[in-house]
Amino acid sequence: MSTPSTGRYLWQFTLGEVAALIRDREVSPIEVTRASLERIEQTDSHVLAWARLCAERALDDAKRMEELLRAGKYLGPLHGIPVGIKDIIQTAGVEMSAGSRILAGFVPTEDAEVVRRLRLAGAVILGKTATTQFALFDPAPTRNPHNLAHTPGGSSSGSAAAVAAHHCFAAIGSQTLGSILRPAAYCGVAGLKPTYDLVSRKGVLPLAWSMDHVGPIARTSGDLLAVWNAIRRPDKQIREAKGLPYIVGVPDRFFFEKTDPAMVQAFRAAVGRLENAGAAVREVRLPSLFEAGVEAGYVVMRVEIATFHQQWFFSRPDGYGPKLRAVIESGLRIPAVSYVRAQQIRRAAAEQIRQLWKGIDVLATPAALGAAPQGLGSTGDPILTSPFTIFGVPSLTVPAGWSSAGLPLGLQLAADYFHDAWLLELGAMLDAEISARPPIDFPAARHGPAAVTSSAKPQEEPNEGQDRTEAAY
Amino acid sequence: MNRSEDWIARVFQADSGAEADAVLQEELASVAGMLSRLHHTPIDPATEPITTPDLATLRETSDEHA
Repeated sequence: MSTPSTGRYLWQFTLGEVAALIRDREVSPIEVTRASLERIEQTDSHVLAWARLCAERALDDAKRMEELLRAGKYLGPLHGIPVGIKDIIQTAGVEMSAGSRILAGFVPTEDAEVVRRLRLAGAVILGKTATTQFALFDPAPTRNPHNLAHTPGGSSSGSAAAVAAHHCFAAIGSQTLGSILRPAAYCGVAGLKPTYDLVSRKGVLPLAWSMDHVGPIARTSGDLLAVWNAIRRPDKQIREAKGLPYIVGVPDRFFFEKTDPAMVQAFRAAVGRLENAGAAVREVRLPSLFEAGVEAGYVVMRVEIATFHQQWFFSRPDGYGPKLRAVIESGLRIPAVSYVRAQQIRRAAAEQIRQLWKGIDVLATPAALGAAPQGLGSTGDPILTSPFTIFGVPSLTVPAGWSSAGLPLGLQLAADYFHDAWLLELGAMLDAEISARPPIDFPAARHGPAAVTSSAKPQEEPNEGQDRTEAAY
Repeated sequence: MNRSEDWIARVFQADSGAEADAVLQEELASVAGMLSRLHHTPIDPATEPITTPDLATLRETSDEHA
């Protein structure tokens, strides 16, 4: 369905735009949900973003949202908005396999806290988005909507690809090193990794619990703000957006040594646009323990992964892909003295980074080493997003430009604990150019009336025979 | 190789035989390198707290900034 006033299909709108249409009763949640399901029906054979759809339940929920509107009750900007949920996050009554054979057939009886909050805000859950195996290394079958021969990134592969392909207006992902921001950057959409534990992890399958973050992916920073406001813990005190001027720091090292020149160029251009919008930009020196703190995080992560998975690993070793098996094996071998030292260094580095925010408001970096790598065997390197995950401070990516091959490149912004709103406000300065982009089209997509998918689609088994040489958290 | 690197190498010696797949060997070599650098990072293990930023710390931090 297209709207008479714009001629655009409903699925082409941003979350903010379609929320205004619902609020003003110009379209109904049922029409919006049908539009999303039709778009999925027409294009997901290319993208493979979904582990399973819950079309009938989504339409039932949309009807309830319509009834509430008719009764004069509007729940806010997520009222009647179709969203996707990463398949490591529980939704009651819907199978959650986490991209694994080990959890195949597991049907949780309760919603995760983040899902509960989304439902309270009126969101319509379309289904579960594909994830790498246990949100770690082994890729999902999902492809990058901008070029199907390239990875969408991971581990929130399906969440990022679904938003980029206009299947839904927002999706929930998780990040232990780079699993929200990297796929969002590779797929040309926006992603927020909130401050550690600002969004509850209750009902979310752990990977490494001291680094696991839950957060939204959407098309613009404004859309992320709407989701973030709905899912964050209300008992946590946050810093409100402060308005210009923002002081933006550009780091002196770490983020540029191995980064593709086209990515660096796009990064500089995006920082220039922030400067033109009124931000002050200055170079900053990263603290002395920065690199050691990041590496310590990689050690801690392995110990935590091995701790969580050890029972399944010993009873069902064949249920694990080769890279995840290797990570668990190494985690089991890390001595206690090394784990303690890693925690000490991580903590000391995090304390040093606190000093960074005394001179700047926000740190700006490239979101990834470059555009999405070719092939589906690896989901790319999380090294540039991992520091802020390891230290627990909030980070955001927004689209920053294009590679020579026509693939998206992302800008990353990070700030002090609980300053998530500062990132969203700064990122919103670049929203206008994102909203103006034409939607991705697919050769076989037909935008006329289409049947609504009514049954769940089984997730493909992870391809364990592929070579995986890079991290994919 | 000093004593510190020696014990790390022993702990992370790759398995032999059928278990010694290339992915595991690469992973063990990578982590051995990480641990070696970790144990050469100049911090005082007797005075550094071992906890990571946790809820209590973050709440304190938030209150400080409020």
